[in-house]
Amino acid sequence: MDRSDAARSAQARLEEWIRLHGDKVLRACYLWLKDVQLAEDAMQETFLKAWKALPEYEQRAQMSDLAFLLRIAVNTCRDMRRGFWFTRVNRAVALEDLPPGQLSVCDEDRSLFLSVTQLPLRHRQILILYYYIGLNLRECAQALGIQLSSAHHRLKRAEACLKTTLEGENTNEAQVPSSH
Amino acid sequence: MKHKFRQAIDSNLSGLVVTQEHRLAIQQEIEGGKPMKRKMSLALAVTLTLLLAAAAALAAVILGGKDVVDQFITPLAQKNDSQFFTKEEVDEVLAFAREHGIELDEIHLRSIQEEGSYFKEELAMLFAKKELGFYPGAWSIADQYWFGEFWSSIDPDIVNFNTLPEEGELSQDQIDDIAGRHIRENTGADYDVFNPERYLVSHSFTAVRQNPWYILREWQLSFEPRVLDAPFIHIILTPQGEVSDYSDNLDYINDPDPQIQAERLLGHYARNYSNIYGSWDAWSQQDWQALREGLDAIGLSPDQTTRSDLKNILSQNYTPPAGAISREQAIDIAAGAVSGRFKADKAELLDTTQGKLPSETQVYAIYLEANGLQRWKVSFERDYLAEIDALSGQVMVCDVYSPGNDYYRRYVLDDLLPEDKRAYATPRPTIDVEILMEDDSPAAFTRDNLELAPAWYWQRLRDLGYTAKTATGIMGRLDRDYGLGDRYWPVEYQSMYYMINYKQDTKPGDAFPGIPHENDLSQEEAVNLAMEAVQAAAWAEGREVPEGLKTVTAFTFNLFGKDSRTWQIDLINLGDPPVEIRPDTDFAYVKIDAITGELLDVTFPDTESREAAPVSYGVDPEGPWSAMGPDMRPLAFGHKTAPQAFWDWMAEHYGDHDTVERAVAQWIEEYGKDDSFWPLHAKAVTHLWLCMPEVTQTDLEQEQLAILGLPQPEHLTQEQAEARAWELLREAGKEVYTQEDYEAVRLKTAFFYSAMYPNGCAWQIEFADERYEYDSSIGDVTLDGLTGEPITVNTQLGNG
Repeated sequence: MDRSDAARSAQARLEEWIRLHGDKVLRACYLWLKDVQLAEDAMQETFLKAWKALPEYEQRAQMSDLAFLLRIAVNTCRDMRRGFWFTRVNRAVALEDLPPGQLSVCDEDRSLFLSVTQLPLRHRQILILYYYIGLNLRECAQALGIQLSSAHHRLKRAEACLKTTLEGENTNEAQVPSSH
Repeated sequence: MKHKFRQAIDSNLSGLVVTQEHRLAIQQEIEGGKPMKRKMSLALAVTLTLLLAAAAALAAVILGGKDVVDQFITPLAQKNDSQFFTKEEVDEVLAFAREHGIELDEIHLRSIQEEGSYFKEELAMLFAKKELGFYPGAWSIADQYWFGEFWSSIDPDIVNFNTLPEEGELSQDQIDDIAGRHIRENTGADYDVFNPERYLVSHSFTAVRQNPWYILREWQLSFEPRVLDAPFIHIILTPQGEVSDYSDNLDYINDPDPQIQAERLLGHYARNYSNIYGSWDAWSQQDWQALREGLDAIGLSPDQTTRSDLKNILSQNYTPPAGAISREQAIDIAAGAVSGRFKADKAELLDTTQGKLPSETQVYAIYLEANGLQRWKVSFERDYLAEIDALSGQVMVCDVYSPGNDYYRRYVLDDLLPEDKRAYATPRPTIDVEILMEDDSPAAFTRDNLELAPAWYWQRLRDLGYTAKTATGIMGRLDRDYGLGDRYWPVEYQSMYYMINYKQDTKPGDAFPGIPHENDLSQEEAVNLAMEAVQAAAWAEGREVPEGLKTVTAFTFNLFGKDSRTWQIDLINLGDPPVEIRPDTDFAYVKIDAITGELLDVTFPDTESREAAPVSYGVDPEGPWSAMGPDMRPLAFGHKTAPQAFWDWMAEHYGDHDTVERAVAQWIEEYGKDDSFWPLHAKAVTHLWLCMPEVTQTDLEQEQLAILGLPQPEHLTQEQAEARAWELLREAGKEVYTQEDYEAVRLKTAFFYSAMYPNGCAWQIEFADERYEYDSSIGDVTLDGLTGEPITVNTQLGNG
C-alpha cells in the first residue's frame, strides 16, 4: 500500500517529535532501564508505537504530545522490565557504564544523578517525569496510567526517598531541621 | 529544583542522544510496508483490531459486501496459503461483485488494480465495509467476530480474538445500557452518546490470554465525539457488565490552557473536515479561515505555541481578497510554471483521474496570506509546488516538493517556514530495508556463533523452525497458548526471542536465556526440586506456603560464570482470577545448577523490599546523637540563634545525656517513634540532642542555622499560631481544597529559631494528610513567630 497523505502527515509529526523530544525520551528510558541498548530499543519502540497510535491520539487529543510519548515510553519500558530476561540481570549503573558525555559533570550533578539511579523504579519514574521531563502532576498521572492522587503520593514518597539518599551521601549538608 | 535535576541528568547523559542511526531504524520500521505484516504478532493484531475505527484513515479504504466475502473471497482465498491475491484473482473478485451490483469506489478500484496483488483480508475488508460501514470498530460485535473468523479461516496463523457473549454474559444491548448509565453518572450530564450525529461509538468484545492460566474476556467501548463540546469517553466492562475501567477527557476539554484548547479545536476540524485519508486537503478556504478565527478567539498567539501546525495557522489568513485570481486560474498558472521549469507534462499534472489519491490531494490549492504576501499555493501530487501572487498571477515560487520537506509546506507560505523545512536539499536517505520474504530459510539469528554458545544450542534454535514464513504463526501461537509476554513461554522460545532481539548485543561470556542440554536436569525435575526446596525453606523461616502456586521458568547460560547453565524457577501466588503476574505476586525464586542438579539459591522476595525501604521519620535513640561539645552537651547548645531563656529552660530540664535518654524513651512510649505530633518541648529536646549528628563548629557560625525551640511569652502561642494558620489556609485554598481535604488534616506544628526569619523565629504549621499516612500534606503555613504575619502560605497539594 502506498503511503497515504495521512501517513505522510504522521511521519512528519513523528520526525518533529523525535527532533524535539527524542533525547529526553531516550534518557528517561535509560534511567528507567539502566541499560543503553535497552534504552535505545525502548526509545525506538516508543516512537514507532506513537506513530502507529497517532490517528487515535490526534482524534482523542486528551494529553500533551510529551505526556502521550512518555506514556508510551513508560509502558514500553515496563514491558521490557516485565520480560523474563530482564529480571535475571543485575542492571546497576556504574560510572564507567555511562555513555561518554559531551559535557563536563560537576560532583553535585554526578551525586544527584547517581542518587536518582539508585532509587526504586516507581520513584525514578515519577521523578524523571516530573522534574526531568517537566510534566505536570496530571500529565505524570496520565503517563503512568494512575490516578492523580496516586501520582501525587508517589511523587512525595519519591522526593522523600531522594532526599534521604542525598542526605546519606552528603553528610556535611547544613543541619536545617526537617519538619519531623 | 527542576533546573538542578535536569542539569544533573543532562550533564551525566550528554552522550546519550538520538542519532541518525536511531532515526533510520525507526524509519526502517515505518517504511517496512506490507512485508512487515509477517512480523505482526497476535498481540499487535488485537491492538490493531481495537484501533481499527481510528486507524481506518491509514488503511486502504474501499467499500464492499459480506456476501462477496463469504461466497467468493473466502473460497478463492483458501485455494492457496499466500497472503496475497494476484491481480487476476483481484479482477475475478471485482467481476463477481460487479455481477451482483456491488461496485467499489473508483479511488479504491484504482488502488487495487495498480497494486497488482492485494492482501486477501484487506480486499475482504473493503467489501465488508461496503455493507457494514466505514469503521470496523462501529460494526456490531457479531460482525467483528464474523470478520475475525473469516481471516483465521484463510490464514491459520491468525487467531480471532473477537468473541461473542456466552451463557451468563450480557448482550451488546445490555452492555450499551450499562455503559450509557455509567457515563451519565460519571459526567453528571447526558451527552447523548449513542446519537450518531454526536458520537462515533466503537465496540469490541475480546478474549485474550493474559498468561498460561487466564484468558481475559472484556468489552471495550469508545465514544469519540463529533461535536466540540462533548468529551471522549472510554469504558471497559466485564462480560457481566461490571465497569472495570472508565476514563473521559472532561478535564481536558475544560482546561483553560489556550494551547490545549487550540489543540482540541484543531483536532475537531481534522475529524470533521478531513477526507477519508485523514488529509486536510479537503478543507475549504472557509474552514481554514474559521479555524484561524477560532484560534484567535481562544487567545493563542503564534509565539505561545511550540506546535508548528498551530503556529502556521495562526500566522496566516485564508480569505482571498476581492480581485484575486481564482483557484482554477492559480492552478493553471502553477501547472504551466512547473511544466516549464521541470519539463513535466502539464496535462498529466492536471489529470486527477489516474492517481490513487483523491483528486483534491493530487492537485491541491490554498489561498494563504501572511507577512504582506497574498498567494495561492498549489501543489501537485506532492511532487511539485508553486506559489502564485493572488493579485498579479505572477509565479513567486516554483519548486520540487521533496519528501524531506516539512509536510505542512503544502499549507504554509514558504516565507513562514525555516529554510531547512523548504529547501530541496534533504532527499530521503536510502535505507536498506530487510524484507522478510516468504521463504523457508532459517532465520539469521540461528546461525552458529560458537563464541556465545556451543553448536548444539544453535542447532536446537534452528530446530524450532523459525523462518520468515513461519514467524507469524510461531509468535502468534506463543501468545495464544502462553500469554502476552515471553516470560510464560517454553524456555527454548524465550531463548529464541532473546536471540531475535539481542544477539548482536550479546558478547562472549554474557549471561542470556539459553536451552538445557539433553544431559542437564530436565525442566520437570528442576520444578519438582524447586517446589521441595521452597517448602523446606519456608518451613525453616516459619512462612506459610500458599495453595496453588504457579511456576514460571527460565533457563540461563553463564549466569554464574562462563559455561554455567542454570534453571531459574519463580513460584507465583496468583489471585482468582489470575489476571496478571505482578512483582507482588512473586512468592519465591529458586536457582538450580542444571549441570549438577545442585540447589543454588532460594529467596523469598519481600514485596516491600522491592520498593525502597520506607522513609523513616522516627526518632531513634539507638542511632547517632548530635555532635557533642566538651561539656558533653550538643555543640549547638546555647547557640545565639535561640534566646537565653530557652537555653536556661533546656539546661534546667534536659541538660544532660541521661535525662534526655530517659525522656526520649518515655516520649516514644507515650507518643510513638514518629515525633511529628509530639509536644513542642519534646520536639525541641529531640532535635537538639538527636538530630544534629553532623553539625560542626563551622555550621554553628552560619547565620541560617535553625533550632527547633519553644515560644517565649512575647511570641504567638501555639494555639494562636494554629488558628491563624487555619484562617490563612482556608482563605488561600478556597479554590483548591474540598471539605474532604480539610477533614483529613492533622497539624504538624513546630517553632523555629533562625536568623532567616524577620524576627528571628517562626511558626511552621504543616497540614498533614491522613490519607497519605501523614507523610504528605495539603499545604503549609509559616508565620512570623512574633507578629503572626504570614511568611509563606503554601496551598499546593502534596507539599511536604
